This record gives sequence, structure tokens and C-alpha cells, in this order.
Amino acid sequence: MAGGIDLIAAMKAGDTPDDVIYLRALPDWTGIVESGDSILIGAGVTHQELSDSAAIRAAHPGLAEAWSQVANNRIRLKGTLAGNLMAHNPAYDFHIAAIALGAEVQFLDAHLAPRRLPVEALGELPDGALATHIVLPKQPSLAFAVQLQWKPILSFALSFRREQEQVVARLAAGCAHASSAFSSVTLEHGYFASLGDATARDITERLCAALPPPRSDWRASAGYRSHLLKVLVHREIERVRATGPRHEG
Amino acid sequence: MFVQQDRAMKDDLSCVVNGRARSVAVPINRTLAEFLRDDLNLNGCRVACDGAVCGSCTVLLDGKPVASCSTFAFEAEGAKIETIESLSEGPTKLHPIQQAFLETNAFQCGFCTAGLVMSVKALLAAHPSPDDKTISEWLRSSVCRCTGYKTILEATRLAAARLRETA
Repeated sequence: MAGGIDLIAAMKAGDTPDDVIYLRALPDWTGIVESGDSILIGAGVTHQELSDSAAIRAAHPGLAEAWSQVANNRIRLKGTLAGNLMAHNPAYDFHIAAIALGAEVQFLDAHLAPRRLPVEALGELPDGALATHIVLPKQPSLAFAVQLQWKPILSFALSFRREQEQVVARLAAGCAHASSAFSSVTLEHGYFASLGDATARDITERLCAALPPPRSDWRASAGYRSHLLKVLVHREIERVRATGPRHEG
Repeated sequence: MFVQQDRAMKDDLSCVVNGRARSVAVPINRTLAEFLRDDLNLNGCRVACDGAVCGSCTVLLDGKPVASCSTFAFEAEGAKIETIESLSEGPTKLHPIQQAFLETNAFQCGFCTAGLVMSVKALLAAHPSPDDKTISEWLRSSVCRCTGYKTILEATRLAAARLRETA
């Protein structure tokens, strides 16, 4: 454990782990460093440290700003980003931002070999894996937004990123689904630069159509969530359209 | 609080609580709130939601607010812990933050107050002259079901002004 918030909650619910290893004592566990085209975020980095990081503020100001507001100050100061990811809880927040930004998780497998997985493929993490870093691309997004205000009905993060001379829209949906859902659309040449009302609607439709159906529960039906997601994603794209595409940072 | 707590191993915990060095053998699965309340009889730390959400159990660990209900006691090894009991000077002279809460009627049932006061102490240590936006954003982390926050905002402003005068 590092932050330990989920572990304590699980133990209060009756879990009795045989052993608890306190990872905060490990060297290189914390810290955010730039390395080539990437920003390496130690698995022990807290939400507040992410928000305060000069490297994150320079490359991903929208992320830094959003993360100064997540959860409450006690969780921001103690909870770790890796713990947030490894909890596999769609109601948590960091996985959607990380997916939208094209982040990867670096981990040690059971043989202590370092490996990486895109955050959207976290479900494929092998047993016994220990996350060591979160790897964010240093390249700023053209646009980035996180929507957390409609939790627990839905949450999502949206980005427009330049990847190999093309603009890719990435949408990661959180608590509307049983596990995080991801879709991406590679935009035709010039499509993003000439973003208009019709193109904003088209991108919204394509991103949302590529997601699996949301879940139904006592909070909201799948149909309601699906419609709301479209409305809010479209609203974010309209905001990008109104303010103009920008290179974050 | 924990299932099978009596089976837990114990570990020596050394820390400074409210200015006094402590060394206590505590079960490794004990929360900081349990350590403070049950082992040290510091009952000003109140557990409400028991899930790091409401802020009632907030204490300061090396000056930072933590949810003591969701922190293991062993995480405080070598740390400086401050609870509400550390603030007043004797039974009659309240800390400026406590005095400000009193004068602005910033509490009703009082269950959340100790956590709020400690949270405000951490805020004012980092931001001696916070604007209303900073105060509101900080206080958003604590839940009060009685006062509606307006008086707590006033108390924080008043405490900040008085602490600046005496700084």
C-alpha cells in the first residue's frame, strides 16, 4: 500500500490481508520527471503532487487544474495516482484522464521484468504486477477536458491529440460503465482545424457510438446515461470550437 | 473496528502528539483515529463517515490534514501529529481559530467542528491571506450538516485576520 485509503476501506468491510507492504519506503517511488518524450510519474505520487508539478502544469495544464479540485484535500494529499488506477474502480477519476491523454502504466511483472501497458488495457495486467510509474506523453494536447460534475451518473475525459501528423479524438468514460470504456476517432485531414457545428456533432456521434452501452442501475438507465454523455461530450467539443483549438501549454 | 483486530501483530509507534513524544505498541491494523481516541484518549478527533469523505476526523500530520479514520497509525511513525486538543492555551484561552468559530457561531451540533478547525489551521499555515475562493475550495472538503458554511467562511476570514495581526 502507499496511500492505503482503499485498503483500510476494504479491511473495514471485512478483508483480512495476510501481509501489508508499505511501499512509501521504496526509493524512486515518488517524483515526477521528464524523460525524452514522456513524463514519468512515480507510482507513489499523490493527486496533489500531480496538480502542483511544474512539468505537468507546463505540458498538461488542464489536467493540473482539474486535479487541484478532485476528491477532497485529505485524499488529494494522501491518495496516490497508481492506487487510483489499480483500484479498477470506474467511479474513480484518474483512469479517464490518463486514457484520454494516451498514458501508459509501467509495471514490474511477477518475474520483476519491467513492462508497459496503455491505461485503457489495464484489465490485461498480469497477476502479481506492481505498478511503478505512470507514463504521460510530454506532447501537450490540442484540447483536453474532464467532466466529473455528473458523478455518479457519468464521468468522462476528452482530448484532441496530434498523433503521427493526424488529430485523434480520445474519449474515456468512467462511472457510466461497469469498467472504464474508451473510444477514439482519427479525424480526417483538416477536420479539426475547421471545426464547425456539423463536425462537432459528427465527432460526438462517432466517439459515443464506439463506446459499449452504459449500465443501468437505480441512479440512471443506460439510455439516459447514453444520451447525457452525448450532450456533455458535444458541449465540450463546442467549447473547444468556441475558444478555438489550442496547444495546451 | 477491524475484524480480527485482536489477532493483529503489534508494532512500536514513535511520534510526537501535540508536542509530546509518544512511543506506544499499537496493532499494525489500527487506524490513526483509533490510536488517538482509544490509546491516547484524545477524543476531539471524531469519526463520522469513516471513509475519508466528511472531514470530521481531520488531524494534522506534519502540518497536512489527514483523514485519521483512513490512515494507519503506523504511517505516523516519526511524524508530528496535531489534534484539536493542542490548540487552546489552558481551559480558558482559545486559539484564534477556535475563538473566531465561537464569535461567528460557526458551529451548531459541533460534531464536525474539530475537523474543520484543524483543516482551517492547515489552510492558514499555507495561505495566511486566503481569498474567499481559496477558502471555499478548501472548506468544500469538509461536510457540515448544520451551519450552511457561511459562518464557517466568516470564521475563517476572521481567524486569518487575527493571526496576521499577531504574526
